[in-house]
Amino acid sequence: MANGDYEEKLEMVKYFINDSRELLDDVEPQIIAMEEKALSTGEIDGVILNAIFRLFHSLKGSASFLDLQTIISVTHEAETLLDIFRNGQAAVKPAHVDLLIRTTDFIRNILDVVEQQLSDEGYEDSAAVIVDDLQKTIANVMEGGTEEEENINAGCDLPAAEEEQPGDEGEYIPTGNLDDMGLDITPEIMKHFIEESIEILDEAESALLALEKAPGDNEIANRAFRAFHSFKGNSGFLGYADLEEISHHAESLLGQARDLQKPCDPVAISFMLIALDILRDGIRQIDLGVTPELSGKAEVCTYLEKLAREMAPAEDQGLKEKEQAAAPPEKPAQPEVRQEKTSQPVKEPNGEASVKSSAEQEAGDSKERQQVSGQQQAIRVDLEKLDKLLDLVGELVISEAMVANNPDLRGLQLDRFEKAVLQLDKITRDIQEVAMSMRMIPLSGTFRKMVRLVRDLAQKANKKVTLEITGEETEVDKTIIEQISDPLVHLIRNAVDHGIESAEERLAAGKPETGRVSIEAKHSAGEVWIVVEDDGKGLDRDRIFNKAVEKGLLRSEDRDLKDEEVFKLIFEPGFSTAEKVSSISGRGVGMDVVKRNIEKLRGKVDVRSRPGSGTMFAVRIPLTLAIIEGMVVKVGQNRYTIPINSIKESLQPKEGQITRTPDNLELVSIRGELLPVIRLHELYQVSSNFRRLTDGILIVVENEEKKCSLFVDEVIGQQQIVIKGLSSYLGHVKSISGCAILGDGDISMILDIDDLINSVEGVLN
Amino acid sequence: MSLKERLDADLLEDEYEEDEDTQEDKFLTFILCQEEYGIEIRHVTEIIGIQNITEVPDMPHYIKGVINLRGKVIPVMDVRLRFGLEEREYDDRTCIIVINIDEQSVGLIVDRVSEVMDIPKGEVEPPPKVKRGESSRFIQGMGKVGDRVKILLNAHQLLFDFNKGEEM
Repeated sequence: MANGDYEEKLEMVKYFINDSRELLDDVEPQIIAMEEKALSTGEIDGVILNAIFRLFHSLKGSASFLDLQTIISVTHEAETLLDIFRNGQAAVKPAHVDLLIRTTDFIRNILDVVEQQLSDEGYEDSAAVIVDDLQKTIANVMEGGTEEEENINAGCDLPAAEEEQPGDEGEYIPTGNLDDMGLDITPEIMKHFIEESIEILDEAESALLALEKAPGDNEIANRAFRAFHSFKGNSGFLGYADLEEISHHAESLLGQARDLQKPCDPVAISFMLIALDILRDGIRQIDLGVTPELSGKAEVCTYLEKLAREMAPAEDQGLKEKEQAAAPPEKPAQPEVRQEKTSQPVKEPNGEASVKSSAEQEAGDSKERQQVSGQQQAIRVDLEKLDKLLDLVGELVISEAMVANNPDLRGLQLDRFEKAVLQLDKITRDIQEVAMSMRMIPLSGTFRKMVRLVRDLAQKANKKVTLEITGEETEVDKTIIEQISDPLVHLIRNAVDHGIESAEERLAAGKPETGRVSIEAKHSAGEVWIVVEDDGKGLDRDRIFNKAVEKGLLRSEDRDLKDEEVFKLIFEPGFSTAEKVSSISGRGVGMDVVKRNIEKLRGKVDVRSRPGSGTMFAVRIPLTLAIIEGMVVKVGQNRYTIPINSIKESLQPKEGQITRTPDNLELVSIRGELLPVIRLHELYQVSSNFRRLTDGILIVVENEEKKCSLFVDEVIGQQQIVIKGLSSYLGHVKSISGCAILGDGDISMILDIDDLINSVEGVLN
Repeated sequence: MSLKERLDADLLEDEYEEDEDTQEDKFLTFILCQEEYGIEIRHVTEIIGIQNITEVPDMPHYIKGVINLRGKVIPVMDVRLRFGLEEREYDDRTCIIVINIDEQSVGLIVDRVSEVMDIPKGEVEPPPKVKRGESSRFIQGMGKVGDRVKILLNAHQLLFDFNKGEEM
């Protein structure tokens, strides 16, 4: 990327990238079509092969025009490989196809990179790895080696024979070097492998679970097949033979089922799920930096093999003919469907699979969306960098406030300055919003784990349960994703274990045999709502009440408490009403964990339940965790910040509004409502400018429909504040949720209204 | 990594090691009630003048509150009060020594900071056997410099050792 007018070059690169992407979109389905043909008939379709060859060739041509060495080198080798097949010198094996697909993936990545930085610099190593693989495969194929082909990296000492790369940039790493030390696996490659494996396994899992519901659905089976297939390729490439073997068995079972047009039975799917868990465990171990030791590997492999064998005998009985008859018309259709997918999200044709759950539908949809968004120029960014950026944005917000509210400016007439500050303020907020949105990811990953969870739980408890997922595309901050998983698991466990009744009970109660658990996410007024609902037997108010009395949490005369108040008690530590402790839940831990985790996110959880018809947990979490709108108030020399969303109103009370009880509790009457007054200066034992309520300001705050009023000296104003944790050295401070740095650099404590109101209630009782 | 880069890195490392070495036996000394104290320099991150302190409710009396140190909120402890000595108004010589132990940054308010000095291990005597009051647990040793004695503090104890009743 050296000379030439910059603008012109930019145009050219853009044109090249778009063009190449189209070529790749064409070539990928062709490769897969070739594989399918090769697998089913053992023949190579010369027409398809030629088409693929041509595509790689044109890619190479345009890449050399722009001197993109990485693409030139890999396409060149791919061409050589294809040429061998074209000349009929060897048969196409899945491993070859896998490699070709990896090559196209790689080219896609390079295109993304080129689009970003206008050159492919820095990717020479990864190109060399692929070139190396291709060369080894070529060598293998030429030697007529048939067995080892799948082990591309088995180490083949063929010298890099026909090197015609014009490596004029001097950065091209000759393959000779790589051969000397085996494969050059950099930490980046490992990281990428692990990330990708997690994604692939998630995809495999969701496909398997969907397949369980629609066993005959070929499209879904193919999804699972492809996932295992890519996993096999990747792990084989990095030399994890155990992982490769397990995924190979799962893949061939799926492949067999597909080829024989046999549905996968639940047993097979269960085993494949077990295999998947083992693979996940393996990846986890690799991530931890240890060589994976896979317990249960041998058993699973044996079973999978056995299942595949059991499926096989039917082969001879006329199935072949049927297959052949069915195959040809299917083939041409395949690429078209794929192309459609890449251009826009298309719903899967609903024709054959009648029993599709909404979860599965959605899983399919969002997968397609992912494929589409893959072309919307996404890049992977180190989370650390994002966090750093967010920190800096936080600092920026503070500095902006420091400039805008600078005490030096007080009393000055500064029209132009103020205009500029307004502009700065707007930009700062925009930047903040963008930075925040960069950390937003959809809940789909978390939700899809629940599909598996419900399946396993239902099986264990011997109940029939379906899970409905809505709004999994809802995006939330990454911190929320990390923290919300545990509480959700607890809620879903509870729903399946305690909520949903056994099939007999349900039938006796006149309900459908299959229980329904739904999980829904949506955005609403700056909050994320996650609602977990079941149509089970509901909470038993009396039992909770009795238990609470037994535990001393309530007195028996509290009998006419509102239902919600009673239900809330299930969040108390150690509170469980389960009569028998099952292996899943019932030990009384769990719900308090749910509440605590959600509170960590400054969120809330509500329970609603009706006997006989089900229970609903509504979790509400503020969208942004780090920056809130706050009202700064002054008490003596101290300034406190009250989150704006808990403030109802503020007022200067008149003498007539105030009532004092004999034990010196002050109440203020606002439009007929009597609210307790909390004097912040007394609560925090600081001096204040005013003693008389009528001199200061009362701020009415509300939390969960409970209100009280806070007495302060004056209101300073509303501003955006960045929440900072109070040093962990100080531990938890009563009624303080954190602190904020104000415009003049001073620190202000942020009041924890929830805690405050509850502590007042304690005093009142 | 080019050869030059590698050499640079090596050099840096050497320097760093040397840094560690030279930190050994070095103490920052400060004055509290006319008495000289020392704290190991390796704990000290910086020394700043007295700042606006924001009170934090419900804290032991020797935790004066928090300060804003370039965007970081760190708690500050009045060492006089920690030792049970009489309180004194802060003036322009009052300093905050910011120390970092176990990832915790805490500011120590002292009357004034004197200097950094070497006190070799051979010159350090164990703390007095006779225990008076609670503050003896904060003493790591008595450093002799010439004919003067510096009370060397155990910074870890100072931060994390709480009596019953003064737990935070």
